[in-house]
Amino acid sequence: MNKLFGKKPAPQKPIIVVSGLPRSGTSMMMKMMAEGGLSVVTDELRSADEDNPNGYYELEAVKQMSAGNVAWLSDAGGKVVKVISALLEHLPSEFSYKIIFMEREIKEILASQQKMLKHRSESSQVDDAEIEAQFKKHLSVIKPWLVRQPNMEVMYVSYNDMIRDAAPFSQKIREFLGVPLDVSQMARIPSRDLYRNRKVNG
Amino acid sequence: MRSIAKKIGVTFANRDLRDFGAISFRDIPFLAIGKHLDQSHIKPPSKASGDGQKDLEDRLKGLGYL
Repeated sequence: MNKLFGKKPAPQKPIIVVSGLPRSGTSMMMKMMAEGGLSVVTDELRSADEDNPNGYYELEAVKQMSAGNVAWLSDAGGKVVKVISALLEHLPSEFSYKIIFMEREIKEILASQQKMLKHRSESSQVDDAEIEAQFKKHLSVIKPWLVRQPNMEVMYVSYNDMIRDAAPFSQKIREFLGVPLDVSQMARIPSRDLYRNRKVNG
Repeated sequence: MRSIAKKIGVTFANRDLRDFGAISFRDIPFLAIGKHLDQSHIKPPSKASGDGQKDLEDRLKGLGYL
């Protein structure tokens, strides 16, 4: 029937999505997934830099989903793609998703974002107290929205806890995704060397 | 939601609801029978974030994520 009407069938396997606020550990989780053995959907246009020495694992087309650029998702079943939380609502409803949602102390996220803005020669028009309130509000609306999406399953992962001991998280992620993953390789990725934006250091 | 419903003999439990957020009495019947929650009354996050949405988007653009 699909052939008759020229419609590409939906992927059988869920699309694996790594999400969260920017600077919440999404790139680290993407690297864990890659090391675990999953195929990553990335164009590598955004290359590694001092903010993300191991790379960003991003796909430019993700930013264009709101404009209708979603055809690439037809080939993403069983693969992993990074989609920041603000863009999750643009994921098409005809596919199913397993979402690893990274959470991190908000002060650390803001400190890391400020460093990144500086490196990009960008300035923030709004102070961090206001942005903090907005991010908290964003999280408070996205979680109820996510739990009501019948095609999305979500696992929340604490970046701060994972930095301390990644092994149990790697195991839980494998169970959640239900795919073979090399958990020992995954657990080697979270590194205290990358943990540079603790509250104490600003 | 599924894990709650799968537990034999449990019709409703308030554990594992940390990430549900804004849980309402309207959700309880859906939880009790293990069905997906009603989404008819919930707006997309960008529409529900209110006045601060533009500030949020400006920050994300500055970081290169939009």
